[in-house]
Amino acid sequence: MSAEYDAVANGLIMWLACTPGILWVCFQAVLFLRKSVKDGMKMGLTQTQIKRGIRGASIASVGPCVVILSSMLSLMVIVGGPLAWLRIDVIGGVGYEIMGATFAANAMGIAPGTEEMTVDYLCLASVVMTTGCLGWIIFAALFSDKMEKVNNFMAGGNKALIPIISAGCVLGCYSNLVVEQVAPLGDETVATLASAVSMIGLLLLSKTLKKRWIKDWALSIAMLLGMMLVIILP
Amino acid sequence: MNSNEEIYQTSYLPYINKWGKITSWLCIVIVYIPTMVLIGIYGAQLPFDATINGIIAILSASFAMYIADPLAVFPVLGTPGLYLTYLSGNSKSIRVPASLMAQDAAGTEQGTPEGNIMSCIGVAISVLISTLVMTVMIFMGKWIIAVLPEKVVEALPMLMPALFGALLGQQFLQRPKLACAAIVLAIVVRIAQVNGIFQILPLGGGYAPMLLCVFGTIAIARGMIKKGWIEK
Repeated sequence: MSAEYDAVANGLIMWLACTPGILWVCFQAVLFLRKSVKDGMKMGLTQTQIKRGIRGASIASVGPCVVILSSMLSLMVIVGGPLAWLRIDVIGGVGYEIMGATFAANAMGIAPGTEEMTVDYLCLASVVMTTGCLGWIIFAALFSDKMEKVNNFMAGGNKALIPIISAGCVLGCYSNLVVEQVAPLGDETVATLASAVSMIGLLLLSKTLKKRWIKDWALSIAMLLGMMLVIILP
Repeated sequence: MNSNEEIYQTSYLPYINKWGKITSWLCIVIVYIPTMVLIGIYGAQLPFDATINGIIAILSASFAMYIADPLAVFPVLGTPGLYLTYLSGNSKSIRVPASLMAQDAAGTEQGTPEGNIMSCIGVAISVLISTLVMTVMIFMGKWIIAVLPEKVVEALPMLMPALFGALLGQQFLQRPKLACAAIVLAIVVRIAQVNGIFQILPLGGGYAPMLLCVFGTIAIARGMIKKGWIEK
């Protein structure tokens, strides 16, 4: 990027402009967290359960963030640090954002990530990327409260079936994602299968040895083992 | 209605829905602040044709997923999880795993009021943690990549398939029969996808495999319960 573009895209003003979005997402999370803990305890969830849940979720959240490190840096080269920071923290996966920035560049007939980028391009990229993710926010705003009806419909009105509906959903999602990774054969196949086997092994170990910490860290360890096997194998 | 269900319906959900909607609608304005700053302070101009073309391109690519993605993850995340996830993103790679881990660690059942609350706690925590980690990465990313061995950097994208594999492994342990059925279905759907069967659908049909796998597995689950092959 040119020095002029860099001064704008990575300038203090853009950092300040992007901060409210990040804070807003965190504000919503804190709001929901506080209400959940309060009502959860009224419903009989113990402090121990809540603490364990928080630990489990915290540990599980770090690894998947690191996955996007390279793509995130690519996005930063195109739209600068502040906008990349906003886009990856507010709705929109990094893949979609790079796609949006590229569509904007194509629309203006310039090559993204080069000296051809101008402040006009940065503005267009911000519009395209942001508009591209509005659909999800609008869907959540309009339909989240009505989704319980979809759940009840799928359970055929029988509330006792809802846990298995949920399990079916998770299995469907991740079976689809795993099969897509496994075929065609490649590094992804190795990583996926190694990680699955490791996870099963670690969870069984945790149960046998009755060590809670193994269960907490199983996901992260399994992910690392999967990745490491790819590195080690020729 | 038992008392927990009552608290969930009369105290919890109304609050979540009210604040979920407020935070979502206001977010739409807040995310355009950088655009407004670029126009207002730096005098950026949006070329009309390019703007329309760019927006049409991204909407065409994303439109089907606006509906397919929430439909696929709602049974796991619940109403509070949806509000949180569609403000922060990364539904299947960060939010669903956090929801599952939180519920598993607390020992609550998916889809119950207690489970939904634990799920919400898990997703909310994941939002705060992921924001922190992403922020660290934004500032230190270049240094991290320079310091890590090249082979590790190249292999980082493998963490994603590894994540999916690990989660499937975890779910397999909990419900092995249903998991086997789900995997078989996913393989059949994948074969159909690779042979281009879904391309005849509107917008290219990219959303079809996921939806087929999710709703197909749910249908299989209901069938298996009816036949007594699995317990609820």
